[in-house]
Amino acid sequence: MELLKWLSESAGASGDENKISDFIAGEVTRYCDKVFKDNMGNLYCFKQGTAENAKTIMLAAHTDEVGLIISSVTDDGFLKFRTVGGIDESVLLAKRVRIGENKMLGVTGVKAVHLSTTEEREKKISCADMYIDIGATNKQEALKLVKIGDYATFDTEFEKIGSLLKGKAFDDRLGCFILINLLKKAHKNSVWYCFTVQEELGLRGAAVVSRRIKADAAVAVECTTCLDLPGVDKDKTSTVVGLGPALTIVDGATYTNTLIRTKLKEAADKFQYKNLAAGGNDAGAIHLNNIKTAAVSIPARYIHSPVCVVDEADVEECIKMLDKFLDTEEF
Amino acid sequence: MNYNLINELCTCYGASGRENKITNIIKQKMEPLCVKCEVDSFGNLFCWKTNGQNLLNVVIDAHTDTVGLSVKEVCENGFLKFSPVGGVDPRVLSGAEVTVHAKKEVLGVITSKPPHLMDEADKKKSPKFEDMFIDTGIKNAEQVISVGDIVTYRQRLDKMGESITGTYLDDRACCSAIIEVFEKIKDKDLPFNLIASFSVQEELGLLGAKAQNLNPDVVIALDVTHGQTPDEKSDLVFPCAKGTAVGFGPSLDKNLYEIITDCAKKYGLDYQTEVIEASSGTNAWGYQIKAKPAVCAVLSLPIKFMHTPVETASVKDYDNLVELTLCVLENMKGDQLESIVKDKILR
Repeated sequence: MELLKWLSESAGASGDENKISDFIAGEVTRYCDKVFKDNMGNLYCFKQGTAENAKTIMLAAHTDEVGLIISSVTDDGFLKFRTVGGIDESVLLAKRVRIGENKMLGVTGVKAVHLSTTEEREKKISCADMYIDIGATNKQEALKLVKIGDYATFDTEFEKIGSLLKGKAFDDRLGCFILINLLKKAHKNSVWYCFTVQEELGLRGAAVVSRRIKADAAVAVECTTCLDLPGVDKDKTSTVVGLGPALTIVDGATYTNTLIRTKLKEAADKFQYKNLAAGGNDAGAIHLNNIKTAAVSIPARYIHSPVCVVDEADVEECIKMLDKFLDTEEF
Repeated sequence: MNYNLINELCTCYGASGRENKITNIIKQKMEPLCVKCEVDSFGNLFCWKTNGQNLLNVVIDAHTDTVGLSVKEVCENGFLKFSPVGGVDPRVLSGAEVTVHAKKEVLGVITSKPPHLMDEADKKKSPKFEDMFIDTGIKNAEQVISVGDIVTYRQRLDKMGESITGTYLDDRACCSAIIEVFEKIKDKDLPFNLIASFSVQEELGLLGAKAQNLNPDVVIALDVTHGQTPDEKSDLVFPCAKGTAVGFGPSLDKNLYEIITDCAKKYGLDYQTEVIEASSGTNAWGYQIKAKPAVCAVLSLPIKFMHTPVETASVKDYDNLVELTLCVLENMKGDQLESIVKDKILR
């Protein structure tokens, strides 16, 4: 749990993943046969298989998360920002964020509801209307505390919520967590555990990784959308929390490989299929390099918001499934 | 600023109509500083510094209640439908953390739809109360949570540069300021009875102030006003770190305004004038309409992002509010007061 807490609470928006990948390298190097990092920030960890004619499987999880980047400072000391990765504005108002290396506290805002016209209240708020307050009263004061180009991430504590877990950046630090757990043990197949960058900007790290290394099969280990709220039709939830890891048949970026998906299914005690063909993940970049690719995801409510909710049991089932899958023969 | 004090008050539960806990905490702090502390049948707490006969009664008031949410329906899998208590902005709720005050305190988060699953209509729509749930992650939530339970933003206060940011500065910051004033004025003899009023249900329409039967001669309401932000620079808002906003307008007493502003000038304390042409939206408005009308003033602390989980104020402004209130009380002369509160007998 301590490991997952660190992974969830640490800041690493797309383009700022170094601290995350360095930490992971520190955790895993002693278990691996080969470890290196490329100049983009992707971390590659190889573990030799035990079988005589071991095949090679790639598991990919991305280290980056969605966040904000400071774009300018107003004369009265407020910060303007843009989103890094897909964040809907509706979750951005009145949130606490941590900015830059020094984790400066800031809060996002617009003028109070009392001062807004009906039209302003009804209209969807846009990022351009918002700003971050850091308590500075002018530009100079603000620039002593932050720099243009500093990243900001949500200030969310990792903790239990009811019988579930709440935190930020589960997408995809949960995937990283799963890979870290798997690589402590050797499997029949050789495995490249790849911690990719810039997934949220369009699967960019995975595109590099899957060209650089040779693999017979690949699985993107992810977090995915989950809308299992009251009143939502059963076939429109995408996934349901607690029903096990979700296998993707098809999404916005990949038609997953039937053989690999079947092998994953056979390795699972409990699983579900993602029921909406929306979104995309590293599998979309990997499979274009002629690697048989599938994707397995942890259902995460409110993904890309300051507070994601997942079931620890789904994570455990996913680790069990992949542990068995890495010993699979004949694919 | 007594940070521990303001932190304790801002992080204490007490949405409108559920002020018992915060009232008790304040009462405990006020008792050593007062000759009498009483809670009336409506829930308002009155604390008398002195209770002398034939002296005018001067009240300084702050409200103890806060905005919140209330549970409307307990759905399956720990989801709750809710409605607002007081003026809550639905736009700030998605992705917020809340505390459900049920049989025990329960953590909740307010739901949102991920951008991946939004259609064109969703992308243009501003969040509405009816589209959101509170997710508690509790499987059998109905065993713990009931319809009518009150929900607050998850209570929290932090220092942020020269500011503080967090929940319920409205109006706990002013409750805290009054306690600090009473601590500082403890040993000083005043030519009037000073009474602190910690009133309830302000956010529901100044109900505590309207229901009180204290009938004081003078009321100085301490409340919050809007701080200036880049998107609002009209004269409805006040730049932070520039001092207390002193109300001026038809429902407020001109002479009392002058006593306050003269005092600020004399002692070099920053202030700004807030023109209030109709209701001040503060308890001064509620207190005034009684058989014996109270002479009223409003002192306001400018805060940004009012009624959100990140209400933000300047520490300097808070200290200024404490000093200005203290200064006014210490310098207000008995005969000065007599002249402004007396009925004018014409025949």
